[in-house]
Amino acid sequence: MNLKEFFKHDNLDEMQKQTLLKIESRGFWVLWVLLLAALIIESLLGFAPREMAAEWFIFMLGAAYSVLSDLRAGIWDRHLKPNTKTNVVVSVAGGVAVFVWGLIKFAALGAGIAVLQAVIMGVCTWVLCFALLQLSMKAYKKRHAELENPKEDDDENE
Amino acid sequence: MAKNLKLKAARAALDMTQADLAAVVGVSRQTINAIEKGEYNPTINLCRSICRVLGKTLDELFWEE
Repeated sequence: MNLKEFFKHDNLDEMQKQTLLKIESRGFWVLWVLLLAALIIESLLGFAPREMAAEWFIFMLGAAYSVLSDLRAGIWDRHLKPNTKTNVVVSVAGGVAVFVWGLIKFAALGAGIAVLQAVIMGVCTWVLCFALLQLSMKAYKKRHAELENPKEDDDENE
Repeated sequence: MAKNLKLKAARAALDMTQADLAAVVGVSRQTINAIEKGEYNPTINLCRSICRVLGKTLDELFWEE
């Protein structure tokens, strides 16, 4: 049996496939959250960026794959609506999280410097997150419209 | 989802076990068990296979009043 046949061969029926997908999905998100937690803890413990590079790269690769695949499939989110108001709220939450992280990370430098650093990082994160969310939302809407209104005639349009 | 007693009755009428039906339609016994218990919503393809084997229509086995 060659590799192509091996991957084509399927031992599972439709219900087992659905169950497997749920397990894999749960596994992906558990790993994603744990990897993020590990990166946060390591950065607070003073690990050098070089020591965290591999984990960061894997984390970003997983996140980028998930986002790009969703956009390509014309999927946004299960619960959140794609609009500017939601993007503001989500990006502010990201900014606040980074602000808190900055406060803890730079606490040893003194209150004034820690707050200044945390504010700068929090605001930068908020702006960056908001810009990325807006760009993603535009890409999602474009892709969603393409999928909903295919150019070529299909059964529905005939 | 409600239990699919019509499926269970049709299978029993042909003196088939869940394992027998599962083998003929090409799924696992646990899938047939889950369909009968109303825990799994099968695809239309699987519904059609089951109907073909049991000699019933989709309405007779899967339509809920």
